[in-house]
Amino acid sequence: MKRASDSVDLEKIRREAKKAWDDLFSADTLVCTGMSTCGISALACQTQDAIKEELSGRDFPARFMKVGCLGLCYAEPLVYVKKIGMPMVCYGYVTPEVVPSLVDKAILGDDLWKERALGIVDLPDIKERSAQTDIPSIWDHPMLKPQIRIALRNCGIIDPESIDHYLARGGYSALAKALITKPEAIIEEVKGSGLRGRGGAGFPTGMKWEFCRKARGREKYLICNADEGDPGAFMDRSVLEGDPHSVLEGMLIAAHAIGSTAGIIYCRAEYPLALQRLDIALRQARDYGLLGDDILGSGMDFDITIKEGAGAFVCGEETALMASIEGHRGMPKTRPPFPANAGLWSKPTNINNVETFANLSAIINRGGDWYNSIGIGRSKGTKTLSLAGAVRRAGLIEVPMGITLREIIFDIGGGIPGDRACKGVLTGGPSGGCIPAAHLDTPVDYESLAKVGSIMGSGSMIIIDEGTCIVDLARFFLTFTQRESCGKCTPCRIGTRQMLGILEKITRGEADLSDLSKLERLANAVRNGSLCGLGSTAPNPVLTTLRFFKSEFEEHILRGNCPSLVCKDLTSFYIDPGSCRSCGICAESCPAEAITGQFKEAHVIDQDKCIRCGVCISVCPEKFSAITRKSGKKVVQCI
Amino acid sequence: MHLKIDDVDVDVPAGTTVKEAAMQSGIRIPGLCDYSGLKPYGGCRLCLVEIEGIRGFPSSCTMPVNEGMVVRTGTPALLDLRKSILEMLLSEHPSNCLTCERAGRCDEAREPMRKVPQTMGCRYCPKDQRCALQETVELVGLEKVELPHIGSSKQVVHSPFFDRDPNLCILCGRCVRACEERFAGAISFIFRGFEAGIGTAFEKPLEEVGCRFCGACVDVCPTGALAERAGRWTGPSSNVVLTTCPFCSANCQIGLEVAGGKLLRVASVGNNLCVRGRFGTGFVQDPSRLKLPLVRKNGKLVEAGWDEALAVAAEGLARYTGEQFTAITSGVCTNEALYLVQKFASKVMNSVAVAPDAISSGIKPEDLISADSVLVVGDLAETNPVTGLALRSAKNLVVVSPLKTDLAGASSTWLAPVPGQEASVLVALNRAISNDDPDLNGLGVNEEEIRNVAPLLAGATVVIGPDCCTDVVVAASRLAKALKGRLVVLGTNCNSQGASILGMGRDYQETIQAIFQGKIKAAYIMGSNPARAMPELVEPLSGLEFLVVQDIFLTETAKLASVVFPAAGFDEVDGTYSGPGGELLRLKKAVEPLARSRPDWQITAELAIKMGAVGFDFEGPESVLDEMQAQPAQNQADLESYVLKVPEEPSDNAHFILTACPSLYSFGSGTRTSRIPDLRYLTRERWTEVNPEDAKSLGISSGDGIVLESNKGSIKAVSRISRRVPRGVLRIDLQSDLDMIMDGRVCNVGVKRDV
Ligand SMILES: Cc1cc2nc3c(=O)[nH]c(=O)nc-3n(C[C@H](O)[C@H](O)[C@H](O)COP(=O)(O)O)c2cc1C
Ligand code: SF4
Ligand code: SF4
Ligand code: FES
Repeated sequence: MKRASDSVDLEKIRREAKKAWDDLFSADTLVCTGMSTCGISALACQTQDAIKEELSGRDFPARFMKVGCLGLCYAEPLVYVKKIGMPMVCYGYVTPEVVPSLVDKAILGDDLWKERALGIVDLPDIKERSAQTDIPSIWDHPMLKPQIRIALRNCGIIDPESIDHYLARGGYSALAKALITKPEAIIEEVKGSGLRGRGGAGFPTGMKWEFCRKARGREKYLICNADEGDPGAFMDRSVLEGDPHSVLEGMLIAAHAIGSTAGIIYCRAEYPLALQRLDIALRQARDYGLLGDDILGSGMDFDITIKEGAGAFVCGEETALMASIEGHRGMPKTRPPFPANAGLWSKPTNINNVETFANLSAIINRGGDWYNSIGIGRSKGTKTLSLAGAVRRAGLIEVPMGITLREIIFDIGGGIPGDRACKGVLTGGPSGGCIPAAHLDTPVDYESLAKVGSIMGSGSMIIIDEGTCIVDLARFFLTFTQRESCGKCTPCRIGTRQMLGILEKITRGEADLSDLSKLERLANAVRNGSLCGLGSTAPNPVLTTLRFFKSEFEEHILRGNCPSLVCKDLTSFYIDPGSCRSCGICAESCPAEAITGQFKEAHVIDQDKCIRCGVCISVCPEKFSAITRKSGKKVVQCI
Repeated sequence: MHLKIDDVDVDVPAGTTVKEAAMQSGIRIPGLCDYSGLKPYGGCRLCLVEIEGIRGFPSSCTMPVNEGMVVRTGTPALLDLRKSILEMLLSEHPSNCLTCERAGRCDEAREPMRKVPQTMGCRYCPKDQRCALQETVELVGLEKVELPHIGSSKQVVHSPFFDRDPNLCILCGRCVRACEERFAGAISFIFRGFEAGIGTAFEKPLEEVGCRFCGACVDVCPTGALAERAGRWTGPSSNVVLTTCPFCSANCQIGLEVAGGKLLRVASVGNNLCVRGRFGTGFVQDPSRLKLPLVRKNGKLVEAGWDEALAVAAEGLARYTGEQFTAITSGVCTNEALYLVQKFASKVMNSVAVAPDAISSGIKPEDLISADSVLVVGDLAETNPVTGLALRSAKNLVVVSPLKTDLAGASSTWLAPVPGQEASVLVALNRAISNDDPDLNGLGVNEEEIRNVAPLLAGATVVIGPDCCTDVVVAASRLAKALKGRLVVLGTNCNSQGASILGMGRDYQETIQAIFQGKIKAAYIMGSNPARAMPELVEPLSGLEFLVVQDIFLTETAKLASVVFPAAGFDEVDGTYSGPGGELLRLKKAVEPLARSRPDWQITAELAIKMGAVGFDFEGPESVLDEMQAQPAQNQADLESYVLKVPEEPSDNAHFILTACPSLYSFGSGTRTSRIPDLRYLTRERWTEVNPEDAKSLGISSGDGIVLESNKGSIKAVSRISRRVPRGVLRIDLQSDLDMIMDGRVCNVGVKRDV
């Protein structure tokens, strides 16, 4: 068994690992499949099996390797093929059905199957480069080009279940360096880097460590927050699934800096793959002597255990998380005392997010100044973001702070699908705000987002187009936070419920204008009065939409009009007598039997019976397109 | 620490919260979740303040003061925020009455409205005028609830003694914290979001999740969500009379809530209580209370006037003297009653008065609680729960108990002998201290444990529960001496200490022997029910030529009497008990004696006077006490020469050791507690606790009927799976009829399913 008893040993192991890594690209054909949750749900496993199957009959030596998520989730499953003497080509949309062509063209044939190639995976360790072909480098792909990948440096490149791959790419060298550096100096370095917590609140990481370092107590805990409760976010999951050792290394550096002997990773049970890969990584790190007693001969003892969380959103809040680890109900506590002084089991505790930890080895290796040179203002470095919603290229990205929303949506995300206009973007998930299209030049950094009433949060971005009703959107997010409220404090438990009631009233067309001021008053009371971040940020979607889209609220209230045609109670379906050819297909499909009409007679929808399911619109033959959806009091009444 | 609150300079010690500091300087900050003695919580968000240098609106109840802090409690923003938050609370609370402009003036219609099954507003609520929401609305100055009402209509949960109406709950979490404070942890928050509430795991009944019905949750609940059923609709009390609990020797102070000359219910006076003090004193209101004296005529007890009854008793007793007569009483009675019955026995009858429970040697509760190192024998959670609770905080707690009692669970060392071998463990400890071979054969405790714990016990306080036999008391007293520590023998009853001071324990055993032997012809029994406690005494007692019984009920013993005197209840008399350290604890009259009943001391005095004795003419209980205190100290029972019994070796043919232990829910002989319906409910079956492993191998589950069979006989019982008992041991509540299968407290039994 390889075990590094000091840093010299570690370098020896690394050299072996590096050699094996280099060999990987020069012997036999290598087939890599993106096997993170995003890839797997796009059938990556079946794809890989199909490739193996296709090749099994032939005498064709090939190696298979799983990699994490490269971030081009929209194009999953991703498969990279590296043939001897050729560069490594990344293919997108490789579902099992296209495997025969892939094998034919890209693996067995000499054709690089350019039509399907997303780019060449250029790596320093691969001699063969994109320059050899007319396929561009994957790093020049519009989605990847504007990125700076620090936390995601290994994601989609190495096998996440191989510590050797991590080592081959320089892994744990920062740890070795940190262990011979004074904790105070490390804290200074991290402070100098300007790194702020990536879990949402953006608290300066170095400062947090310093508090914990200075706190009195022999036992100190270090927690990695991998709860990732924001329903639209998946960056922590991707990091854990794609490069778990980067998190472990970050934790080890932090443990040394604050003087902790026990680490805990709190990860939601809904992330089975992340948990599994973490578990493998922990075992490997222990085997290599990177966890346990006297790590690399430094005298530092540190080990990490995993605690599975039940998946409540509030359990991501640090005090609730600690209560949950202690076996209590996940309910937040007031501060002070701060975790740095009395956290888990009332001992000094430092808690950081997965991504925060993943950034650390680069900061130690390349210096705080280097990290500080990326980003703008008080927001330094990069941020991983998940792109979802109405955007062409959905996926996971890592961009320098200060990049604008417009660049993200249009350059990286490729804009809005169809011919629709961008209506806005929701940053920070259910705790964030909705920023309208007019503000798309807002830079993505903590301060600028806060200025427009939103937050960076964990980094989820949901892009919305004209088809999204703003009131419905606010209702949707409030439904989530309202349900996830732990129930401890009055404003969050009852206030959000009351707010939701008003929003529902608006979507039903039963509200009047005084409800808007009530809504705003409630929202402010919830924001100012709540105990924890869940409650105090829950009104953000409502407050920002009220601020930027007030007219849409008023449209609902005054004219009973849902411009996006989303609110069921305010819309109705209408058959244009001129276009109807009385084919009767709508009447047949209507589950409510609301449509009547005789042969050769235009059909009519009985609005009282109609349940607004929209089946009729979908079945009306395109050449007739006789059915339209309308909204607005007048329209609805006259139909 | 110095701080400024609303421009007022305040000095408070570090660790004070901003809210406490404000209160101390006369600034009232509203708040519903905060409660003195409970951990800070910060949930209701009504106590928000502004503090310079701190972002937002921190809750003052959770914010510790800092040097130089500048606090504002009444800015317009705060006032508005508080109103909004309170409005939210009220929008889910049936609170129309709170903001009704006629609030409190709808009394005319009130009575009939109170009887509706669902609480729709304050006037229908059991906590009306005792509710903190009502105060808060005034303090916050909320005039109108504009938010739509979104209250729920959840089912009311009925438990013994109290109900939980979730629709009135404001989720302040006080009850949960109070329960944690008592180490019961029976209730917790359940569900999330708007559905969040308080409940038990899997919504099980409270009695199945470790609730001991101490009522702490009810005491702290600010609303009508938790309300005792006793006096539910009587409204607030006009007066709270501070008195002493009439049950165990913890001598807790309790408040008797009184209105219109009637006892409404018991209130905690800020201290911990157990179910008996909190909910078990209603026996004084039981309809079966004796109202008139009874005299036996033609073999039947019939009602009579006081004059007649006293005359019959005086005449009857006058025929006996000296050893033909005895007086039996107990530590249930006041000092005044005990002293007079003793004086009566000696001065009038030339004999003695004895009490079964006059073994008690205590120290002041404060000293007990502050003891660092404590060794406990006995299950205090059942006998003296409040004392037990206090002892949990001892730094070094050593428990000797075959069962995993509450204290054993909380102890630093738990020595778990075979039932019946407790005294031998104490002897072994004693030997280990003097470096002798501890000799642990058959005790179930190993040498290492004994050797490890012995050195930790130097100077320890040795606490013996009232459920321990004389052997344990004697062994403990010798051990305490060897440890240079203190011995505390907890008395059985509230005034066992008083009886002990009067020396009433000395001749008790001989007296009982004499009754069995028929040497005693006449007796005067006051506040004691030997016929229930020891059914084998029924026959000899019925054989007495003349028996006078004085009690509040027609007890099993009273039924054998020639004359029965109706005594007044503990709430109907003034008097004193002696606390464990000899201090006097007051019993205060809260209501008039029921019907024609009279205080014990007075009856005895009248009887003596009727018999022509002098020196019984007292003005009131105070003069009795004065006389008593002027008496020289009495000799105590002699433990020095006592020879410890050799416990029987358990025989191997029976599979289980059955141990009978007192139960929290049935006090003493059960004469009083059996009159409380909910206490009866909690002891409705003859539950036998079985270790889960044993249950598995026996193929029985909780609630199954079983038969326990010993050499002496067999009884039916019901199994209850419990981790309190180790394998091979069964625990059963001490009941009078256990003499069918056992003589002492421990016996060997076989178990089988009852088919
Ligand atoms: C309702 C709520 C949910 C949260 N969820 C998470 C989460 O899933 N992951 C996370 O890292 N931080 C979450 N946080 C933030 C944590 O409380 C905490 O600030 C963070 O873990 C600190 O790490 P950092 O300094 O590295 O950001 C949440 C906060 C709130 C109020
Ligand atoms: S704000 Fe919401 S989630 Fe946070 S403590 Fe209050 S009720 Fe719980
Ligand atoms: S039952 Fe009473 S004490 Fe418990 S949370 Fe509800 S209101 Fe508070
Ligand atoms: S009293 Fe402070 S939050 Fe309830």
